[in-house]
Amino acid sequence: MVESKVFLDPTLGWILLAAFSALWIGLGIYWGKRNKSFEDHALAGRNVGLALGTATAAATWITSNTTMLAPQFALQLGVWGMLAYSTAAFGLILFAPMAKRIRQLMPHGYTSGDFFRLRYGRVAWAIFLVFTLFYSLTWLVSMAMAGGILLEALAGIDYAWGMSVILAVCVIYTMRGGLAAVIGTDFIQSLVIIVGICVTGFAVLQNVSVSEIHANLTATKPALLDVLFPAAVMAIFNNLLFGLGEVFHNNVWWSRAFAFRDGVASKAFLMGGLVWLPIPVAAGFIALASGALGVAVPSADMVGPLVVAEVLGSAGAIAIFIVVFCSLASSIDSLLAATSDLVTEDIWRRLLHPSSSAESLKRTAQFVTLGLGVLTWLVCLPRIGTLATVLFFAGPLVGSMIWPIVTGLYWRSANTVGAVGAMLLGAGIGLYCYFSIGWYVATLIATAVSMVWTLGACGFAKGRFDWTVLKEAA
Amino acid sequence: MLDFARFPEKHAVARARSVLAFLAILITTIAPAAAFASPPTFSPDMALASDSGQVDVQWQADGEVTLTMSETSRGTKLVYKGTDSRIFLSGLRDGDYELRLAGEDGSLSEPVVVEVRPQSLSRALFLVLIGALVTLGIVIVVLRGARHG
Repeated sequence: MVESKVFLDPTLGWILLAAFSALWIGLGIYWGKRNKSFEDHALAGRNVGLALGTATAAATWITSNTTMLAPQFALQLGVWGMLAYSTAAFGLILFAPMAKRIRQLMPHGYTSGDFFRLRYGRVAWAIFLVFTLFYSLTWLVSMAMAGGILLEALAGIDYAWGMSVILAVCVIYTMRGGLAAVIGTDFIQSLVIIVGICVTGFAVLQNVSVSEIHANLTATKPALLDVLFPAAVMAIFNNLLFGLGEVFHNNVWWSRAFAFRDGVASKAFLMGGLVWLPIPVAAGFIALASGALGVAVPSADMVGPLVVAEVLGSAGAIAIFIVVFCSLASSIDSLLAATSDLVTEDIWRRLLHPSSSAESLKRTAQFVTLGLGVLTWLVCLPRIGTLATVLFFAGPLVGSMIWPIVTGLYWRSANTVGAVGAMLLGAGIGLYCYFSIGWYVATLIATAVSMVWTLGACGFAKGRFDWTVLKEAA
Repeated sequence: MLDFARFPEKHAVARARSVLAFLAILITTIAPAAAFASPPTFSPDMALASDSGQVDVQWQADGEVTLTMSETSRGTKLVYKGTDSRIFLSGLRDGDYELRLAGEDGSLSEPVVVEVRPQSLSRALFLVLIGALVTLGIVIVVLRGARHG
């Protein structure tokens, strides 16, 4: 057994942090020079190609939660937990045809909020905004917290300082460079992440064989190998649906669908999903190896970095430090950009200042990014709750939006009563199950309730939606 | 207090013996109490029941501890040895698990028993069925929509 300890000299940790911070901020400022209007800032001029599109889809979905939560899932729920996490890839894969449809229906669209407002009206739009802002903040909080925890575990950098620096860097380059900077940095970050995870997987296998891992699990954690482990079995579809809900509703993905060049969106999301699919399996595998490697795990959300630092030593600690920093940045920047665009477009322009100029909207988006960063920092500072608990609280909310979005994109019979009822009933009952049964059923129940209500409302609907309403000019 | 200076010379050996005896008593009675103030104890906030086979074991101790776990009808095994104050255990099957801490000096904590009672498998499989139907429905709507879109 080993004890928890710092694996990287704090001075070296600070040097790495400073170097990568300078790189991302420098690139953000450079790419931001091209942005003249809100459309340039929010949607990178609607001209993103396939390579950048694929990289940003994969990199954004490789979050700190992939590197932290996938191992935690494996440690808590075993092999099923590891596979359950990887099912989130289907969110990107299924969004591929939807992105094509979104571009066809809404050639001038900016946000997923535009879809709800035009398709279902203001009540559904308001509910959507509450749900998506809650989810986005939760996601941001979980990643910023993960950043602080990881930097503390790997380099002894104080949680509050590590979390603050990561958040500040992302806020600065997202403010300056908008979506172009986010997508550009995502490309570099995705390459670093994929190489880093491959190296880690091979390093673990150099230290311990699969048969040793299996023998250790059989002796000490037998339920993790049990095909009929109830908590793990329940998590499979819950996680899959959570992934679908996250991708289908969130402006992180809709903004990319709007930003990609014609004909690129469906291919980019499909390839991004396929690139992402094996990554949680690799990340989860190292957690299953923790017992065979003799790594004592004080807290479930620390298993990933502890195992990696143990098997790779100080050189590996540098590599994982960089990978973690990249995975955090690639997601925090995307979420900051997409959420600030949502607030700017849906609340500032549509509700408060309809006559805002393109230049003033760009400035507003920058200030909203700053405000989101400050709010996230305030929530993260007390370091409350485990990562899984924080993130999965939003599960029922996103699950309840799947059916209104899917039917709203493809069925003319989908209507406001169906969308509003599906979101309220689904989220309400899902949250009740979250507390009465557990997080691992909440999203599933929410989506199922939402489906039944939506199908019923569509079945009884007499009106048929006119698709041209969605082609609203900017 | 004794004033040894007032004792005659012939009592020097006896005086030295008395001092040594006093120091010996002092060392054997006070020193162990200072070095091993109290046996390790489990945190009172620790959850003692789990439906997912996971336990977050926490304790207070001075110095290194050894954590052992005994499962009903099975032997005792070493779970942890070190100076941390918590460890996360998972993958435990249905059963009662007795945990006990031992300090560096061999002092033992009061044991705690963790009850692992997994959730109903039939309920889990029912939820899998619902999940499969909901997911299949979504896939059909998207793929049919994309085909005819």
